[in-house]
Amino acid sequence: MEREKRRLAYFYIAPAALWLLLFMGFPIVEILKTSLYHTSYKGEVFVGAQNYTGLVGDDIFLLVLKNTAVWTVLAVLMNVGAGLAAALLLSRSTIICELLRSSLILAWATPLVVAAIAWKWMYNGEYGHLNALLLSLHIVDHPVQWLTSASTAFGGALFARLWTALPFTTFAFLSALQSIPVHLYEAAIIDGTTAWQKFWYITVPLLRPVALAVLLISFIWSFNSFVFIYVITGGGPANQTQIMVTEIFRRAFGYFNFGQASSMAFLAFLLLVAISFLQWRLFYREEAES
Amino acid sequence: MTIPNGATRRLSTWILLFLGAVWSGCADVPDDGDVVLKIVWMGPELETYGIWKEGFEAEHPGVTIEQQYVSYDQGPTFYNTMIQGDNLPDLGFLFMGMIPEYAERGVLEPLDAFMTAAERAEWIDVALSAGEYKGKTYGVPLVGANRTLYVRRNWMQKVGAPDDPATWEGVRALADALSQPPERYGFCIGAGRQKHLMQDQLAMMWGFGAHFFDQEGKLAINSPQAIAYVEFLTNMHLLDQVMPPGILNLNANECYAEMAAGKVGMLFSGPWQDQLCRDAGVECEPLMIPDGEDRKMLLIVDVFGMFSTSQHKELGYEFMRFIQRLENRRLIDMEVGGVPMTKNVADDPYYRSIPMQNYQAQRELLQLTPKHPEWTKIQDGWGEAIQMVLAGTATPAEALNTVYDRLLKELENPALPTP
Repeated sequence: MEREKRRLAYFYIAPAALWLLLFMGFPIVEILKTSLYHTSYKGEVFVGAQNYTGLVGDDIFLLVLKNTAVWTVLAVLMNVGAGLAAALLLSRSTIICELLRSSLILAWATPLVVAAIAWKWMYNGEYGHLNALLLSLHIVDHPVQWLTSASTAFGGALFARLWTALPFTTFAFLSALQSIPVHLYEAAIIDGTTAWQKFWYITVPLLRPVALAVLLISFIWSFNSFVFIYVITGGGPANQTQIMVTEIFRRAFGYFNFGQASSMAFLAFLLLVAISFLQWRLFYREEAES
Repeated sequence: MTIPNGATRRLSTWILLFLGAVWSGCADVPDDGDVVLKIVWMGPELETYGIWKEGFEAEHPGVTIEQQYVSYDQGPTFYNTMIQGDNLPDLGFLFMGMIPEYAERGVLEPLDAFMTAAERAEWIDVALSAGEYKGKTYGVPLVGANRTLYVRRNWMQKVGAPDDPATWEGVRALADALSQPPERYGFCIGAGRQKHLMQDQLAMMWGFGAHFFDQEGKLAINSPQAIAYVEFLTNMHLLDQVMPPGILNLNANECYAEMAAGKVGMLFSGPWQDQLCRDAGVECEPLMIPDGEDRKMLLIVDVFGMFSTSQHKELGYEFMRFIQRLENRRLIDMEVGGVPMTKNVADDPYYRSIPMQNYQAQRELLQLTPKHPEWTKIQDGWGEAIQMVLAGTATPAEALNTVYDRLLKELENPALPTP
């Protein structure tokens, strides 16, 4: 009977496993294989781990690594922080909150490329809406060239990314907030707690499982966020805003350096797996303990 | 517990559907007797392409032309993906910088066996040489455009600068005179995109005696002349402030539009600038390339090549022959603002317009970019160095030396290939 059950289980998971092997497993193995070759217009030559060791002395790769770390950390912090704040603000049942909640969908529903192009135009130094607004409010006295310096270009792309990522985190936190039993807050009021104590001792612990899931997803999405850098800054000026995924694309499809691009892609994959694993362990340990 | 019959049936149905989909995807298109010639065009979907398709199909019953369009930006990526997937078309629109790389990779078909001496002689030598590499011809010119200075003549008169600049210092002085920031700027260069940056300033760089490769063919992007030139260009931006402050975010097309919008007094552009200005109701005129160490004018030629995997090579070359006809060349030249690529041209007022006269007057100055299989890397590296300097994050020497060292490590061969 037990054997039959197991056979049935294997039978049911077989299509999904096959699908994963074909569309996830095969590309990963293929990328690993390609990363062991030097590819150029002359053809492919097996070089072992040279593509990986070569990255150590590659100044662009080191810059990209630094940019990716800054980009990912800031994007995750902004996304989770702003998402939680927005969820707390919108959790009330008022008409304005309802309207704002619905309007958040607009940002989510906008295709990423369209959003990135729109933001790029908003940042335009000469015709951009942002400068027009700042000038009309006398916050600046001359147009700011948002996309010509690395820091403002990077910040601009981050903000644009936040705009599209915010709805997901907000709704995730919002649904978690709405599932917290009201009687916990009622009991806290009877106990004479402050608003901050309610937030810290009731809301935060009960949001923790959702927060961890949001953190993980935000991390992966931010790390892999190709569109905003590609469209808004193009990695420029002078590669100063290049991140891992745009650099992988540039090396593979711009310079036909698939070997080096694959080594970077494989490292990125390992990093994401490690972080996902850590977060997953943390999440399930918390779950088990609770 | 046994596997339920219903589940088995459902799973079998799904597997059959999946296999069916795979089979239909892999199977050849049903043969209805037609020969399909596949062409990839980069850039906008020109009306000319449609007219050529109709004309060629009418002359060749049983032949269907299948056209695919891809933006200029995505062109190299698109072809690289097709090469990787062994899925190339018969013919394709190529940047001239792609010819050495694709020829080395063996994906282009040499056309020498198809091309007659008379056909070869009809092309302008420098234009045809854009499709040549190591003594073989891999493509014919599709459309070409020179890059020369265009200026707002009426602004020159207003600021009391009646004479055209004769030297590059004169260009700088004129740019300064035309500049009235923030309303208008004297000079614009597409510094936001590395490729445009290279194209837009090459004549000026040659004017300083700077070249990508020295006379022995070795990489020389950090030569003293190159450093002096980049310093000159940077001073125009950072010291004279004759370029729009957002220059690092403008591409060449945006600079062209800035002139038409009355915000820029001078820039490097092609023959289309004349039409752009006229459409906007402003006056602009092409100038002669000023004197310098090496007085040259850049010619950009987009090449039409045949891929070695093509199953219809004879027919493919027949199409190339078709578009070489003067009446067909006229169509594309007029639509995109190209200069003559053939020695004879159709009798059309377009070929007598001011930009064409300017081009003809400077034809002996024409020069192409170097033919190196990793030209994209060199061009982008150069552009990156200039971006660093224009952004004020490095001196010309620092930026050029950094990129030079990197290119020495990265390039398969940091010298021009010998035939």
